[in-house]
Amino acid sequence: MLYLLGVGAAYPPNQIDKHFLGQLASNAQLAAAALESGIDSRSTVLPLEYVLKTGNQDPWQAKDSLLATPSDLSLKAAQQAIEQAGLKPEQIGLVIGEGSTPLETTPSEGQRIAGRLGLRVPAYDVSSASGSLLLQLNSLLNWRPEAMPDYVLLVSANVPSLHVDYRSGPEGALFGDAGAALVLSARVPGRIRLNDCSYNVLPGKAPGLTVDLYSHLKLDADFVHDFVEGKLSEMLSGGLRSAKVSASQAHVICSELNPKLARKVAVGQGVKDDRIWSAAPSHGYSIGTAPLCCLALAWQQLRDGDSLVIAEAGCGPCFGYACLQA
Amino acid sequence: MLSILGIGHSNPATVIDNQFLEDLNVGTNAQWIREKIGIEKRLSTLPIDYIRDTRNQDPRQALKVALTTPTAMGVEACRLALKSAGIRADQVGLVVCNCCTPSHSAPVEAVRIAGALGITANAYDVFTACPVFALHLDYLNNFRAAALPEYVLCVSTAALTQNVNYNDRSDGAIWGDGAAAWVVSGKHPGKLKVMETYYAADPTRCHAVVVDTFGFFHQDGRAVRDFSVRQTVRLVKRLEDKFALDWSRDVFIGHQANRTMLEQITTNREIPAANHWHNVTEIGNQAGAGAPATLSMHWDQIKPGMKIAIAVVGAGLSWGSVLLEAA
Repeated sequence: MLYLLGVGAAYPPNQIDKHFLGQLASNAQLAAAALESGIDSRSTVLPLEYVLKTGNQDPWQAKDSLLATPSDLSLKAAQQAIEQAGLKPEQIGLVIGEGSTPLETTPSEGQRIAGRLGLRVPAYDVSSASGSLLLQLNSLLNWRPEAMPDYVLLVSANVPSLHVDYRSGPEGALFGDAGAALVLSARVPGRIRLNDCSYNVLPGKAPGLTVDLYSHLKLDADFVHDFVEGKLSEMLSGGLRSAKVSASQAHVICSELNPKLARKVAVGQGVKDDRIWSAAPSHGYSIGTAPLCCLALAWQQLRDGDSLVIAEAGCGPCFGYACLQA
Repeated sequence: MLSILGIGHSNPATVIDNQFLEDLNVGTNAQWIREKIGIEKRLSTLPIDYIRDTRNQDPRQALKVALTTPTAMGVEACRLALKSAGIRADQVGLVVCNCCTPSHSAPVEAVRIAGALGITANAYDVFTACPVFALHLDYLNNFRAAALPEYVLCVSTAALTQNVNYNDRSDGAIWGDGAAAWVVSGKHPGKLKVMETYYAADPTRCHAVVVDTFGFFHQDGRAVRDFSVRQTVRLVKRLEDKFALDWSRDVFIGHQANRTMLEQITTNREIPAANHWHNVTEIGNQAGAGAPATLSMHWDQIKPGMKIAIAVVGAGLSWGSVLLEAA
C-alpha cells in the first residue's frame, strides 16, 4: 500500500482554442480532430504568433522562444504537491521524474526538479511515456517499504506542442502542455491510499505515438480505435473489479488521448458522468502528465471512502490500472 | 541477493584518434590530449569524413548520416549479454534501459530495444546517464524479491559523438559511443554476486553536465573533474573499509571518463595497474556503458573469490557503487 499525500498540476498561459484552430485554415484535419476527441482547448508553451507564422515547421526554432520550459511547469506542480502534503521540500527523500519532451536529455527531469527544489537526494527518471504514472506507482508498490524514504516526489513534465506540426495532421487539435507532481509515502498516512496497480507494455507492437526529439510527434490515425478503445474498456473493468466497487459508485480517470471516447467507455460501463475526471478537454493531451492532471482535478472532490480507478491505454503501446481510495 | 549472469557490449566502427583531432586545428594536439585526458582513441557512430567536413555543427545531420544508432548498439549488447548468460530472449521478464541520446522519447528506448529482440515482457527506461550501472542494480535491489521476474536485462546505450561540437577542442577529445548490457537475476546464481549497491545524487549541481536535446553536450569541466575524482575516492574508500578489499587480488573499475582522472584515483587508493580495469583509452567516454563494458571486456579474467569494486560518477550530479564477488 502507498499513501498519496499531495498533488499539483500547472499549465502554461497560452491556449490554442477553436478560434485559433480556425486561423490555421490550411490544416483541414484540425477541426475534425477537435470534434472527434472532445478537446476544446489546449495549453501551450509556444507563442501563438509563432504558431500562426510558422506552423512549427521546425521545432528547433521554437526552443528559444518558449513561454515556459517543461521544468518550469513541473516545478510549480511540485511546489503545489509538497504544500498540499503539508511538507517542506527538504523532507522529500527521493525524486522520480518523467517527460517525453525534454529540452535537455541529460540531466533527467527528476534531477532538474530536485535541483531547483534545493534537494541533495537520489533523483532519476523512470519513464514509459503515456504509462509513466502507472509504471512508477506499480514499481514503488513493489518496493520493500524500508527501501523508500518517508516521502517520495513524482514529477512529470510534457510540452508536446513543441513537437506538433500545426501545418498538417490532427495532432495540433489534440496535444497540450502541462506539468504535474505527486507526493507519496509508504509509511505516513495520507488523504488517498493506493491499493493496487498494474502496468504492462507490448514491445514490438505498433506504438501508436512516436515523439521524434529532432522533429515532430506523430499519432497513428487508427491507434485510438484499434487499441485504446478496447484496452481502455478492459482496464477500466479490471480496475473496478480489483477495487471491488460498482461502476456507479466509482470515480474514474481514463486515458486522455481521446476524452470523448474515454467518457463513452466509462459511461458505457455504468460510471456516472460527473464522476469522470478529465483535464484534456480544457488543456489538451499531455502524454505522461495527463493522469496526474486529472488527479489534481479530482483530489478535493473525493470524499472519505470514495474509490477512484485510473485506467490507462496509451502509446507504447501500454495499459494498466490503479485503484485508489480516499 | 542479485547476481549478474552475463554481460555484453557493442561499439561502432569509426575511430577518432588524437592525430585526427589535432588535424582539425581547433587548438588541441595529440600530446596534450594524451597527457591531460589519457585517451588515445574514441569509437564513433559517425563517418569520419562527416566530422572532418562539418565538425558536426548541426547534430540533426549527425542523426541522418550516422552509421548505426544507440538502439542498434543496445540490441547487439543485449544479444551478447543473453548469450553470455545462457538464456533466450523469451526468458527475459523485464528490460530497463538508460540512454542519454535517444532520437525518440516515445516509445522509450527500452521498448524499442525489447521489441527488436522479440521480448514481449515489460520494458521501461530508468535513467541517470553515467552512473547507471549502480542505479539499475540499486533500483532492482529495492524490489521485494518475489516482485522481480526471473531474469532482468539492463542496458545502457548512447551515441554522444552525435552531440559533440567538434570545433570545441575539449569535448571532441572525450566522447565515444557504445552500449553495454547485463543480465541480472534474484532467483538464479550467476558468475557475480551483487554484494552491495549504492546510489546518491546532488541535483543542485545537475547543470554541470548537460546534453541539449536541440544541440550539444556541455559541461563545467573543472568542477566535474574535481567532483569525479573526489567522489570516486570516497566511494572506493567506503568499499575498502566495509569489505576489506585486497588490491593484490581484487579489482577496481571506475567511470570511464578519462584515464588521467582514473590514475589519480588508483594512485590515491594504491591500486596496482594490473588490478585496475579500464577501456577509456581505446574507446573514449561512453557515458553509462563505460564501466559495464569494461566488466564485459574482462569477463573471462574474473577469478572465483575476486571482488570487483565498481564506482561510477557523472551527470545529475549523481554517483554510485556496486560491490561484486565472483562465485
